[in-house]
Amino acid sequence: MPEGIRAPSGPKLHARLTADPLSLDALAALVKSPHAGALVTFQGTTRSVARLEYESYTEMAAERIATIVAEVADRYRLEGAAAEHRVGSVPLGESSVIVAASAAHRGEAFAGARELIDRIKAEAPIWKREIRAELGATGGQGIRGEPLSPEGQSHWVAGEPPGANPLAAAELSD
Amino acid sequence: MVVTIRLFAMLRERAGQGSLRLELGEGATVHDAIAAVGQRADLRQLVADLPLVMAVNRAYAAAETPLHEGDELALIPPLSGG
Repeated sequence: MPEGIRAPSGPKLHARLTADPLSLDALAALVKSPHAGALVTFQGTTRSVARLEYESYTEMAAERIATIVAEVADRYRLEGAAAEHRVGSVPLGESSVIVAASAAHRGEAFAGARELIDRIKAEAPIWKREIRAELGATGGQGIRGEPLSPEGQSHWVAGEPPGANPLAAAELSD
Repeated sequence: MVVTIRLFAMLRERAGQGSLRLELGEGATVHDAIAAVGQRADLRQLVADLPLVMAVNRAYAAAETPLHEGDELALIPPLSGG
């Protein structure tokens, strides 16, 4: 196959929201291709808190991530593009989001993976709440051992308004 | 016309429910719907303080977008996925 010509069947695309643990290996396998000399993956991982709780506008988030995957694959001429976001409770050290991009060469694969994660964070209607420590029968303890009240142990993470500008992003795809 | 408003995250918690039914005049826009939600005592402060965007039938919509009977609107507070 000549340089720059993708598989005639089109790129392999995958998008999913799930409450189950995420597998980077399984995601990478979905975008592998005999035409791809490069495969870039990214995982975003819970840090510095006991766990995160993710809430989504499920129908719209699933549609939005699928649209992002298709648009990024088209823009960077990817062989494959895939993304999964977890919802519900995600314990410390586990992945909340994973993406994978395969392409003929590394430039497109890196750029595609970067845009996948950036646009998912900016456009998918998903919100997270930090749980700093679990409340046990005695009320639980904070990171420094202080007692925690139910009201004081968690908060919604201050995020960005949708965008940078999802309306502009939508127009870009026309 | 009657539309459904979906609420998420801190808006859902403050309202104590995930959706509201809202009666709006004919010709109402996204801007009018946000203003109407902001009239509720429980949500007034959050609607005033948060940079809210609205999605209409699962697509982000500009403030001047006209609404129709049966539309599903979602009040989208700042995102924090990832």
